[in-house]
Amino acid sequence: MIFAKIEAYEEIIKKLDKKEDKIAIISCNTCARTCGNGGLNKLNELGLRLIRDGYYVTDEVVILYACSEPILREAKLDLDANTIIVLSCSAGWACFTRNFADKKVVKVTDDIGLVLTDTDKEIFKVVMPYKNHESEMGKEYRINTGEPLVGEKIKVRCV
Amino acid sequence: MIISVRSLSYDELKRNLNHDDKIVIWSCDTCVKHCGIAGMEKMIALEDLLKEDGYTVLKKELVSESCQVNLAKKHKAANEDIFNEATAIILLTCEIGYQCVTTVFPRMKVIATAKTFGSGNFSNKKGPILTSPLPTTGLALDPEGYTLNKLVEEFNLYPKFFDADKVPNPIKITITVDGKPLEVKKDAILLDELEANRIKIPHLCYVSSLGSIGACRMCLVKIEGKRGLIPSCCTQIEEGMNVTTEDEELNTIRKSVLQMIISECGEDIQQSRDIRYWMRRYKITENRFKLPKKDEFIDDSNAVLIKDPNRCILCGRCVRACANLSGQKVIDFANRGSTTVTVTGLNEPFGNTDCAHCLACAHYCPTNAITPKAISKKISGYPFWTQISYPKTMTRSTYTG
Repeated sequence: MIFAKIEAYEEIIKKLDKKEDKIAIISCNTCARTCGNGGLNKLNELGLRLIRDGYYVTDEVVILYACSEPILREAKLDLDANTIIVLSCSAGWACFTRNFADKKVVKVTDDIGLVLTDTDKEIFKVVMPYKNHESEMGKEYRINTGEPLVGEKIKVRCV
Repeated sequence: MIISVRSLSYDELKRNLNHDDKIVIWSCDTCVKHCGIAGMEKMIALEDLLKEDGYTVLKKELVSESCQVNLAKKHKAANEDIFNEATAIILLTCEIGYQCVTTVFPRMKVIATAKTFGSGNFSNKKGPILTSPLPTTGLALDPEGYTLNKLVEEFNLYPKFFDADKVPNPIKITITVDGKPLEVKKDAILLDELEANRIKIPHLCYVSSLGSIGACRMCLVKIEGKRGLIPSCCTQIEEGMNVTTEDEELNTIRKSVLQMIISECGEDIQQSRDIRYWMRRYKITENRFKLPKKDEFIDDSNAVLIKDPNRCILCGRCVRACANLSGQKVIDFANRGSTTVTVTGLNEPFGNTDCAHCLACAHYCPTNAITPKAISKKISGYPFWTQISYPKTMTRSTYTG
């Protein structure tokens, strides 16, 4: 799985134009949901906040994988928006950038690393960090919320 | 998805093995399968290669998601005897899968066969592409992506699965099918070989990676010298078999089974691709047995999946996928006979169970009774959530035969 952290709300709105942008929010329901940055909850949270602050949000979509063109094709998204916010890792952002070339696709997450998970303990652990996130190696987080955990719950042999 | 490429040649793999090793081949069924280097077919090909070279392969272990430590532990617990006997595990997984398996089997010789490059997409035109490379690759983020061929060239890796052209020819025997001789693999499943030779046999419950249970009774054939009609999904090929795959009696029986399925599930049935195909083939145009339409509760409590019992035909694919591929055993049958249903957990909402969200059940369901949750909402106009993308289907059970 891929762990990406969502930027602060203040950083996200810097990339948006309140007057011009009609916004669709797409939320990945796999890795991003597991890591607390996607799924229905995060989508609702961001959508409500943007609407409250006067942004024009037209569509909200929860999609199984944001990184798969066959899934995207099956979804037959009919978006009224000219701007897309993708709550997923950068692979999901790349997929929407290619497939919605006429729209502004806003990247609001930063890839932290590849993770292994333990869904019984509800923990995920960074085992292959991305550039500038090497210090995240071995760190553990709570599934669904992305809340950092103290101590090592999953003993990985070869890290 | 995580992008991985095969990094080990077959000769290098053999150098890591001793001739007296007892081998388990372990494969992931998700990202790495889409990269073309894992899955049940690849495990069978590797097993054939190893066996021809005199190695002992104890088991092929297909895991729905190898990056989940808890699933690896459950696979180990379910096959403890075999893993106690085994001395080596060959992995067809990404490097995360390698870390999981070495964690669960700390004293076992574990041989990784793939290098992981980062995350990427599955593109309709290019197949798997790497868009977000790990720092070790020295490549930059690129929404257009790097194809697997480019990675293979740049990093001097292997483009195909273990020397695909060197996979040995299995022992072939000749059987007779509908009066014509046919060369097939010895000891293979009859249905697999018929399909491999482009002889279409209807079936709903059988998938080679999940094994056979003979529940749907759609794949019945006649075999000379054997009593009654035989489900081809449960029949091993034998020398000199004389098989009839189509005649009036078989077609009538298949048509009746299909009509019973359609009757229980109403008009929605025509939206299931598999069933629609067979309806056309057997010229079924109307609902023959008028039964009251099922009106069971649609369970959307799971974060990722929706379970619609109205579309379930009790083929058992989800039950087998959850037990065999995931190891979680969250889905099972309850009750008997005509009251048989599939239930989650202890007959509780899907969301209350310890589902690992590996999607194996949804992947193998032939009628979309379990589908991934994909919902959309227009803020103006129709401000409520609607399920998108997945064709509606339904059917009904032939579990009891």
